[in-house]
Amino acid sequence: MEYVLTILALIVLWTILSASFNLVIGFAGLLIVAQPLFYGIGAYATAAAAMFLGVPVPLAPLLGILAALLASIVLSVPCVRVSGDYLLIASIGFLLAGLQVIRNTESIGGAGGLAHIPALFEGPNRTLWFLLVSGAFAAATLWLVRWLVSGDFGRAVVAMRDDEEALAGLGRDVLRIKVFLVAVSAGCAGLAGGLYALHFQFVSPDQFELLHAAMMLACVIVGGIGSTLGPPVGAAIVIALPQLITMLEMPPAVMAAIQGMLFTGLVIAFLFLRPQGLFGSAAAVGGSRVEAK
Amino acid sequence: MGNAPRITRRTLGGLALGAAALAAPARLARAQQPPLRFGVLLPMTGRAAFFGNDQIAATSWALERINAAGGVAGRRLEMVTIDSQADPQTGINGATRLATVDRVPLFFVSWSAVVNAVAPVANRERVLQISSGATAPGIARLGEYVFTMYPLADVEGIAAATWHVRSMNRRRAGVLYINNESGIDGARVYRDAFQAAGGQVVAYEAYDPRATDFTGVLLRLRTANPDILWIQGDVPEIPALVSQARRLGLNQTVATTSIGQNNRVLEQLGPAAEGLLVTSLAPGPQDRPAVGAYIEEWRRRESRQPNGLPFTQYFYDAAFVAASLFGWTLQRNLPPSGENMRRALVEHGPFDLPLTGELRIDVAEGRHTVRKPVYVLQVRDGAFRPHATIGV
Amino acid sequence: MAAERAAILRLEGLEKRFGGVVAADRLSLSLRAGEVLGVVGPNGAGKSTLFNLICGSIPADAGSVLLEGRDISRLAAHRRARLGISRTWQHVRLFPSLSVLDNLVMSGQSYPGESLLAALFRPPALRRAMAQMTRAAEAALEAVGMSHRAGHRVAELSYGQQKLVGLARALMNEGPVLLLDEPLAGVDPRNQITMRAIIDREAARGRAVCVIEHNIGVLRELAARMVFMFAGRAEAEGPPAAILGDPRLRRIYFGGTA
Repeated sequence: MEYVLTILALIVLWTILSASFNLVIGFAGLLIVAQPLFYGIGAYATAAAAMFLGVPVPLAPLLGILAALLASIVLSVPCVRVSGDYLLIASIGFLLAGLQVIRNTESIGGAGGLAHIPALFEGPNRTLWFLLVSGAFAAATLWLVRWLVSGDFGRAVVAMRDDEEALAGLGRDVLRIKVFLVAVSAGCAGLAGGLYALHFQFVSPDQFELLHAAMMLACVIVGGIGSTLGPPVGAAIVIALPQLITMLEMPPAVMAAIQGMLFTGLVIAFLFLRPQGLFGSAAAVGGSRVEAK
Repeated sequence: MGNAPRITRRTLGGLALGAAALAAPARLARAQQPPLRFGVLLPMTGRAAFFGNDQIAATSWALERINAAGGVAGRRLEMVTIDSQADPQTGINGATRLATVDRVPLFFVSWSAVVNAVAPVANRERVLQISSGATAPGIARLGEYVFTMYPLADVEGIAAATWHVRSMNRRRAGVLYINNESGIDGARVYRDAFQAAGGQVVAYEAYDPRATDFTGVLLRLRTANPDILWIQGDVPEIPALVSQARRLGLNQTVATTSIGQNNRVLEQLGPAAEGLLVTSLAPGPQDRPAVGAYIEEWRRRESRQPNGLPFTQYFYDAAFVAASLFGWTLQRNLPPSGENMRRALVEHGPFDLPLTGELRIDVAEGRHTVRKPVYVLQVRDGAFRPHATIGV
Repeated sequence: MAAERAAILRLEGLEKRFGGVVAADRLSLSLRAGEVLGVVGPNGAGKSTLFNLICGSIPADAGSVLLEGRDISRLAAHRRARLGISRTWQHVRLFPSLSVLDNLVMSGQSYPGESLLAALFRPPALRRAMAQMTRAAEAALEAVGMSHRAGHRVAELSYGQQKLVGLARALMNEGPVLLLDEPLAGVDPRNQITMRAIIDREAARGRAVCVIEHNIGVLRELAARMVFMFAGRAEAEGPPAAILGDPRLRRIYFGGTA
C-alpha cells in the first residue's frame, strides 16, 4: 500500500534525523537546532551531485553527507565555545542564513525549490525498496549513536555533560568532542536529506525551516531525551499522528486548532507528564544527573 | 467561519487502527451507480488556510450546482478534500493518499511549492494533476500528468508590458521589484517583454522584502524619469510604495500585478490610489455577469467577499472541468482512469467555464501552459473599474 | 632568590578582573620541584582564581604562566593539563554519571576519549594503553584506600571519600605540577593522614605541589614555604613561621573571615 509505505519511509527518515539530533541535544547537551539545515544541505547537495555533477545516483548521498558535515564544522568550530542560550541563538541564525542562501541561489532552484531530481529506485516497488534501504541506514544510525555514547568516546561525552570545565582541566579536548558530535550528527542528517531527495524528487527551502527543528525536538522528547531507542518511537508518533488526525472528519476550524498545537502540545504534555519520554529511563546512559539528588 | 464545506472523504476507522483500517475501507452499497470522485489538495489549516478554505467552498458550491442539474450522465460528482497545509511534504502525503487510497483519477491543487512537490507522485501514479492557482513558471514542465488551468507568471507580465507600449504609448519604463523569487522572475519577464515591444527600461530597482522606507530607490527612479512605473511587489508594501512615490513627485502612471487588486490598497491609499492600474487574471462582474452572481452568492452565504476572489473563481470552475473530463470519458465508454483523464484534457478542446471564461490547454514539446486574456482594472472614484481586456 | 632546586612553574604579573573586582593583581610566584607551597588567605582573596589562571580554565587579562620555561599562557586548559598541570577542585567536581574508576580513567593522559577515530577503530596499541590506564587507576584508588569503591557511583560516596577520589584522579596525571584546592576540608582525621602522606610522597618524588588550605595547623606541617594572598595580591611569601607570626597578616586573615 503506497500511502502507508510512504508514511513508513518518512518515519524511517525521521528516525535518522531525531536519533542524530538526540546525539547533540540529548547526549551532548548542546543546544544546536540547525539540524533541519544539515538535512536540507544533504538533500540539496545530493540532488545537485546527481543532477549537475554526473555523480551516479546511489553514490550521490555521499556528497550530501560530506556537505552537511562541512557545514556543521563551519557552525561548530567558532560557536561551540559559547554554550546554552548563545549557542541556541547562533544555531538559529545559522539555519536562517543558510536557508536564505539556498533561497537566493538560482542554480539550485532558489525559493521555488529544485524539481526533477532523479530517483534512487524506480518501478512499482520503489517505495518498498527505499524503505528497506533507508531502514537499514536508520538501524545503522541508531547503532552508531548507541555505540558513540557507550564506548570510550561515550564516557568522555557523558563526563562532558556532567562537568565540562573539570573535564578540560583533566586534559580532555572538550571542543574537539563537541565538533565531532555535531559533525556526526550533521552527517547523519545529511544522509537522511540525500535519501529524501532521491525518493521524493523535489526539495524546497520550505521543507527545512525552524519549524522542522521543533518537530525533531518533539520526536526526541516524546521518544525520550538521551535514550537510544526513543527516536523511532518518537518519529513514528510525530509523523503518523497528523496523518491519522486528518482521517477523522472534522471541520477545518477544529482541525486547524489540533494540527497547529500538535507538536507544541506533545512537547509540553511530555515535559510535564513524562519528562523522560516513552523510552528514556532515568537510569539511561548519563541520566543520573537528573537522578542524583 | 460559515458552513464547513461538505467533505465527502470516507470516514475511516479509529485513530489507533488507522493504518489497518486503511487497507479495508468500508465500501458503500452498490445499489446505484457509484459517484464520480476527484481530489482537491489545498491548505485547510495553517497560514494559507484562509485562502484554501474559500477555494474549497467555491468548488463545493459548483458541485451543488452540477449535481442539482443531474450530475455527470446521471452520476453524482463528488470531491475528496485533503489538507496540504501549503507544505510540500504534507502535500506529498496527501497526493499519495488521493492517488493510492482514494484512487481518484484527477486532483486539483494550488501553491507553487506543493504543485512542484506532488508532481512526481502524479506522474508515477498516472493521476492527472491540475494546478488551479499557482504561477511559478517551472510548473509548465513538471511532467506528463501535470497541467495548469491558471495562467503562469509570464502571461501577466508579457501582456501588461506589451499593452503599456502598444496601447498606452509608453516608451520609458521604471521597474521596481521585491527581492524574492516571484519579484525577480516577474520583473525579468516584464522588462524583457517591454523591450521586445520596442520600449526602454530606464530604471530597474529592487527593494528588500522587509523594507518600509523606499526613498532611496524612488529617488533613483525619479532621476531616470520613466513614463510608467511597474511594481512587481507584494500586498503589504504596495500602499507605502505608491504614497511615498507620489510624495517624492513621481506622478507617472503606476501599474502593478493582480496582487494590487486588493481592498487594502484602496483603504490605505485613499485618493492617492486614483489612476492605479492593476492586471487581473480572472474576469470581473463587468466582464461576465456570472461573476456578479457568484460574488452575490458569497454575500448571501457568508456575508463577505471571498479571500483571493480570482483564485476562488478558478476553483469554482475546477468542478466544471472535472465534470467535462468525466463526461468525455463516459461518453466514449472509457473507464475514468488517470490515463483517460489526461487524454480527455488534451483532446477535449476549449472548455467554456462559468466564472473564468474560455480555457485552452496548450500541450507543446513537454510544456503545458494555458493562455488566458489579461484584464486591466483602474482605480477610479475609490474602486477598481474595468479598463481594458488584453486578448490572447 | 637562590633556589636550590629549579622553579618548575613561574607566574609573572598575572592580572584578572571580574567586572570591578580584582581577582589577581600583578601576581608573581614560582613553584619549585619537590616543594610543597602553601597558599593561605581569607575567603575571596583570589586563591582559587590563582589555580584557574594556572590551569587555564579562565584566561588571564595580562601576565604570563611559564611551565619549565615555556610560556603556556595562551594554551587552552586541556593542553596545559597534558603538559603536566594537574589539579583538584575545592568542591571536588567528580563526574556523577560515571563510576569511580571511570572518573580516574578520564584523567589518564593517553585516554583516547575525545578522538572519535581512535575510539572507533581501537588499534591494539590503544587497547594496551587503555588496559594500562585502568591498572593505573586501580593502583591510584588503592593508594587512597578506595579500591572497594571502584565500581560505585559517585553519589554513593561520602564527601570525604569523594575528596580522596578527586585526589586520586589528579594523581593519574603524572606531570610535574600538582595543584590541590582545599584537599583536607571535610575529610575525617583518619583519611587526612592518608592524604598528607600522599602529598608528602608526591613532593618527595619531585613534583611541585601547591596546596590551598584553611587548616593552618596542618598546612604549616606540610608546606616548607607559604604565600599569603589578599585582594588578588601575594601579600607575603616565606617560611610558615614568618607568615603566621606576622601580626598584620593575622589581622587581615582573621578580620577578613569575620
